[in-house]
Amino acid sequence: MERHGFERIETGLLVDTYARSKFEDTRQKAQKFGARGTTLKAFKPSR
Amino acid sequence: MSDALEQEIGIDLALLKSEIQKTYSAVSERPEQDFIFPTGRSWAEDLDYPPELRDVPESAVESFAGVANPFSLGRLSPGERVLDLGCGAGTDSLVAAQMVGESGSVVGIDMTPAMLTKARRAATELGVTNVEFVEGEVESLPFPDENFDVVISNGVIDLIPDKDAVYSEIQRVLAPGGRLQIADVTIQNPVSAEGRRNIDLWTG
Repeated sequence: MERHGFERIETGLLVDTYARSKFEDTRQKAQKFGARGTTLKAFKPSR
Repeated sequence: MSDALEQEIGIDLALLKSEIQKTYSAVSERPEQDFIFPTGRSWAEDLDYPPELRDVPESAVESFAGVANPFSLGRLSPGERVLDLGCGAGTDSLVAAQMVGESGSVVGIDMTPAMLTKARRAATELGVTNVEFVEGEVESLPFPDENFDVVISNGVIDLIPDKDAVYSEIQRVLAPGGRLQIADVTIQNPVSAEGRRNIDLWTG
């Protein structure tokens, strides 16, 4: 994000999105890769 | 750029785009089906979506496929001009439209026509006039420079291989002092080259 010129970068809590998947295979893959939902806020600098 | 990216990642970008459209057309047209990701109103409620969710028509929320709650990092303010990248059936756009009110505006962009049809219908049902939905791709936004105060998105940027293009476009269309406020998927463990070539991992 910094590389793209954003500042004041803030991230939120991780959400275990794929633990809610109906498919066991998806839940396992998400676990393996550590796939989580998250949130991010960042600002474009003022002039 | 596409050729270099295809070589770097080892996937056919046109095929990936087609598979993404196929998956999300299904979420639009057959929301009752089981998908590999959670969907629908109960999922949005579990993510603690703001109270404006209550008034978003079921026709939109039934196809909600977000990965987290971008509004958890703060509400949007009345009067703000908002762009929703990959708006899908419009749940986040319609939450945003209520937050920014009539003095603000929301534009949702998505590459899946079936989703846009649902989003437009839901906006009419909700009775909001400060939102519009546009077909297009987030790597090449059809908007002027510095046109928005906030860019929101939910579970979309992770689907796009060329993230540099996406963030460059977001930077371009944001007004100075504007902000990006998104939900997305983060991968905490390394993915092998073979894994990166697996389109199913991208479309989830």
